[in-house]
Amino acid sequence: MRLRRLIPWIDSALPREAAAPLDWDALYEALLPRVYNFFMYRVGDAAQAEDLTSTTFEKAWRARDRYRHDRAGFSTWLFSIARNVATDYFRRRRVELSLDEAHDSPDDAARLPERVAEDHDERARLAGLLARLPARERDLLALKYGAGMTNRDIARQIGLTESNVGTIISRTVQALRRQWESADQ
Amino acid sequence: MGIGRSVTVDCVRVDCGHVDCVRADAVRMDNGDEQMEDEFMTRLRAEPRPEFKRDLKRRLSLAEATRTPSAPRRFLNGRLVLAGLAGVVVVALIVSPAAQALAQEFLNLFRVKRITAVSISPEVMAQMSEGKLDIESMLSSSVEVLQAPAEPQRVSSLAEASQLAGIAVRAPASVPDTLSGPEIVVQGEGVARFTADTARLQAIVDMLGMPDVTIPAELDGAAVTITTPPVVALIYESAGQRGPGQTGRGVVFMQARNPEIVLPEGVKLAELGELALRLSGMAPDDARRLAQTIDWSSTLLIPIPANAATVSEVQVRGVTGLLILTTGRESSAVTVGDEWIAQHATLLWSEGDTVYAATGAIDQATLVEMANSMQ
Repeated sequence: MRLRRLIPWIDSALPREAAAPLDWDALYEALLPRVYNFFMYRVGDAAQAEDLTSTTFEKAWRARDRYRHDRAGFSTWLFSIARNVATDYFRRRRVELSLDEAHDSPDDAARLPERVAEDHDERARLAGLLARLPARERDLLALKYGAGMTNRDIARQIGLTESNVGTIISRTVQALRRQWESADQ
Repeated sequence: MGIGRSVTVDCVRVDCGHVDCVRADAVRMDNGDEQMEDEFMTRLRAEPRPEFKRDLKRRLSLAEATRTPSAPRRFLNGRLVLAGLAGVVVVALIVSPAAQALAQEFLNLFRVKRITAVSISPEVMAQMSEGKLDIESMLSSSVEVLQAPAEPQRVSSLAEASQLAGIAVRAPASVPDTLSGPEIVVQGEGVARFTADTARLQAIVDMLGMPDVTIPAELDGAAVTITTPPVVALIYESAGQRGPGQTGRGVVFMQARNPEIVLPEGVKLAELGELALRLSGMAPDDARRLAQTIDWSSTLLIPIPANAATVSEVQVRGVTGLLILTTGRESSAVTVGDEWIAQHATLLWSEGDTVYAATGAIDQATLVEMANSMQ
């Protein structure tokens, strides 16, 4: 940790090497699906995931001058914003959003072609299971399976050790798998 | 910068984001000691709708097209200026139950009279470094900039800087030959409001692994306004020649009217300070003992990595200042004998109603000498 980072007004006063410009197009293409899916796992609803993804990118876009190359990778920074957006969303809702909203009515599913309906049903099932998880576990799973992060990246993102992340995810997924399989039977 | 170009990026497995790729990899994800059969967990993944992707890109491009051309980088980013002191405020807001009922009444005043270093544990530093725990980002939505500091303004004289900043600007009379300048720059006043978000603050505490520290839920929404006065920077550029006593990229002297932070009435500063010490990684008993010895209404804590810097108190212009030396792979170096080592010296002190900071790749004796010669 550089001392300069700890004393903001000194930090900002010192000359700094010009950082290589970011390729925003490439970042957009690479990160949009990851952010979108992060929200899919957080809120379980496609329309809401789109809204929150938009909010995240718009915030990042407005604040991009403040992105500090020397502090964190861009995706780490972007997912910090995404997680803040999720927190704000749930705070507005005051309660954790019930992913039951992701379940369409049986009538809706019935109108879908069989294969699509099957996929749709599985997505709704998983969303329903995730909805019952505590916020931390759901956050971890969203980063893992939605954002596609490695355990190491997740550990960096949220400040837990890598082994802790692995343990929590493993334990949570095992529990979910049991519920998933019991529903199959 | 446009957003319409197509380029290649480092697209590793987890970066591509395509559903098929992720599903195929799901069963191979290394999750510690076991390989998880977690394919079912990928069922929720989906490609974003092409229309959504296109529309959002278009909106961002529009924002780019209407964007005001970016100004030169501010030498003092208002948000960053506030951030250091905001840490004090954050702590102030998060632990005092008395603040809850009077969150909108600002009666207590924090003014910097003394600057004290607090050693940050390697564990906490590890989380803060490299974005592992980016408190600034986590709190960004809680900070509202009411008045962004004006663009940095170059001025031609100390008198002009004094007029703009509202202080009697001083400059070192003793300057090593290897430094040129100074360039004088003034950053205008900034005003920001911090609104406590207990959930977010608790998340930070949790991430720091301090389960015994609880943020009172009643403080949610408590707000405080922070005003930072204009700051004057005297920028001395290195002549580029690396000689004994001074090398690197220059030295900066900064000075500003004492920033003021008005706190909610009833804030128990010692209690808040104790929490600040806990958050630095200090043991509970040690934090309690030290908290009782500090005048929290006038002491600014500067977090220092325990294993990366040495801190000492020095006499500067008749007051006690804080001298911080960092060594390591910094971008600058000084010579010790025939050996080049990386060193960065920072000197902080408060004098009357003005706070000073001097920093650069320079040996400490020269930095203190320069500070003592200010007039």
